[in-house]
Amino acid sequence: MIPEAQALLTMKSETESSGSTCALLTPAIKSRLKGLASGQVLEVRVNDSTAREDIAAWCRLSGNELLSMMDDGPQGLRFFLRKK
Amino acid sequence: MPRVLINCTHGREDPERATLPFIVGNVAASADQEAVVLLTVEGVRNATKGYADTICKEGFQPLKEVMQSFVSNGGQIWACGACAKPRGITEGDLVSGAKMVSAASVVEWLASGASSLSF
Repeated sequence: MIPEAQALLTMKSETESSGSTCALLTPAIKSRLKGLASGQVLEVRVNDSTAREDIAAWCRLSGNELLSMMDDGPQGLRFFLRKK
Repeated sequence: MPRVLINCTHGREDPERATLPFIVGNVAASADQEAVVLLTVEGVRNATKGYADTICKEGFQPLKEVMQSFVSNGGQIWACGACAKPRGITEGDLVSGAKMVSAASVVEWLASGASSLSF
């Protein structure tokens, strides 16, 4: 079951490139979450495979909850994060 | 809250080494860690007004943008006082969010359990 998201963040380069979002992704997530209330869900779409580890680590550090991750193949990855 | 200290020793002469500490620091700050970027040696110049404005390594965000994002996420910029003095840099030269620190402050931060990384 796909969680219902209240906000969307898309970070995709023209071609999938591992590590391309390393410097920008988690600060961008943090910034996007500022506009949400506690308990609301942010959907993140990205085509950088290293985001699997980046987002999981960031959630462990920050205390926000990673609800699910979906691999849409060539369309990239989708993450659903619940704001703490 | 966990603490980290990222040491930056380079300025305009090595844009990649000048930028990476702030990228790592910004990721730490955005993950709710207490993050400090400590500027030493030539890196201390990054803390001065206007200096970082033209530093941009291909493939990276411009240094000025990364520094601003770092500070807005709660990160602290520490400029080594001992490194600033021989370069003629004073507190009044520093950008918003930066402050001059002594070795004792650095040691105290490390002794309190901060993890460190140097570029």
